[in-house]
Amino acid sequence: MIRTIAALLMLALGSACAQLPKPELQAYSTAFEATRSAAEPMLADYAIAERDVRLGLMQTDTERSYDGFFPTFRASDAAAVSTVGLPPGAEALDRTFRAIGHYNETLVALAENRNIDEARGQVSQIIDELGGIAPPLAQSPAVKPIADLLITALTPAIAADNREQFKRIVLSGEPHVQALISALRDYTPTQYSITTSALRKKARLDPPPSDQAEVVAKINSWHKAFADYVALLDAMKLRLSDLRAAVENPRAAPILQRAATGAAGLRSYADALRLSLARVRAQP
Amino acid sequence: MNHDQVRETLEAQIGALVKARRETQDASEKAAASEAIAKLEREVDQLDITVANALPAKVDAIISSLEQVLNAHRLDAASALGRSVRKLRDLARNR
Repeated sequence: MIRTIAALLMLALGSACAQLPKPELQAYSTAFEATRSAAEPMLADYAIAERDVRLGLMQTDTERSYDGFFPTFRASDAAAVSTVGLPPGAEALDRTFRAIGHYNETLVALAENRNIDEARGQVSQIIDELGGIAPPLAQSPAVKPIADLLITALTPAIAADNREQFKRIVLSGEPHVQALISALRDYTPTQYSITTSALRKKARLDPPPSDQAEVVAKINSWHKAFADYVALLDAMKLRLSDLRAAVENPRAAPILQRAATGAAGLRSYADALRLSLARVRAQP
Repeated sequence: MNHDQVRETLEAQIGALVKARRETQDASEKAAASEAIAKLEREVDQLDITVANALPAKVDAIISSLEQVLNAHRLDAASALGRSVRKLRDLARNR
């Protein structure tokens, strides 16, 4: 009997026995978190700027008859005025980061076989709940050890299934995640324009404001910060391609090495972006 | 021209007006330039907000496709158990 179970488990493992590219996954997901945490303050400033630009457009819209106050209210005013949640563009950027984060968390959960412990917990819970329906059965001293044995016996099969799902998600999901990173990248000219809109207007005033030099310096700091942000996004795209390549070609050692060094590079980009943002904030 | 190219063109026009305003001493010319600059700046803001308004639909379509990939096979513990049991049963039947 035991031999039969062992043979079945070996068969179940057969098709999905290859090792997962955990170093590449670790490198990619760590780098993503570094990118997200570095980009968060940019997003916060952008959200404020997006509201301000929307409000400015409303105030200068001749149809709105703004005269220090709005004589009418439109539901669409919420995007500019409400401080509940984020304005539409900022909300979409935030949602994009969260979607990529969810994808990465799913991959990490599968690679770490987190669902095996969850399965054990679920079976224990079912047994506990059975106590209310069939007390003699649930209270039998043999039930819990059998349940544990069941999960232990199925663990290799679940782990093999996790590996299959991991590969499927990397291969099928990667083009969509690449598209999301591209959307973040493509949006940067607009994001920069909105973020610096008020500063650019101030820098152009005639006569020039007393702090014009500081305003110009701040715009230049934002320019540098956005350049670092794009470098981070480009590097993320590359690391994700490396992860895909490692799944498609698990024995390619150079890819693994590249992933490890790439993660270090990404972290340095993220540090550079944090520094650029700190410079922006340090300026008056 | 895409929106980024339109923005570049508008900013170039603003830059030219700012330079012309700086170089003139005529008050009426300065005022006219300032008015034109403000109008063009508003056009840039309008363009940016149009792009911002289009962003949610653009990313949501991609996010929806990604979620379909993630949800194609339920990935929770129960479904992992179910898939494993089913696979073992199939293997036993085919032996």
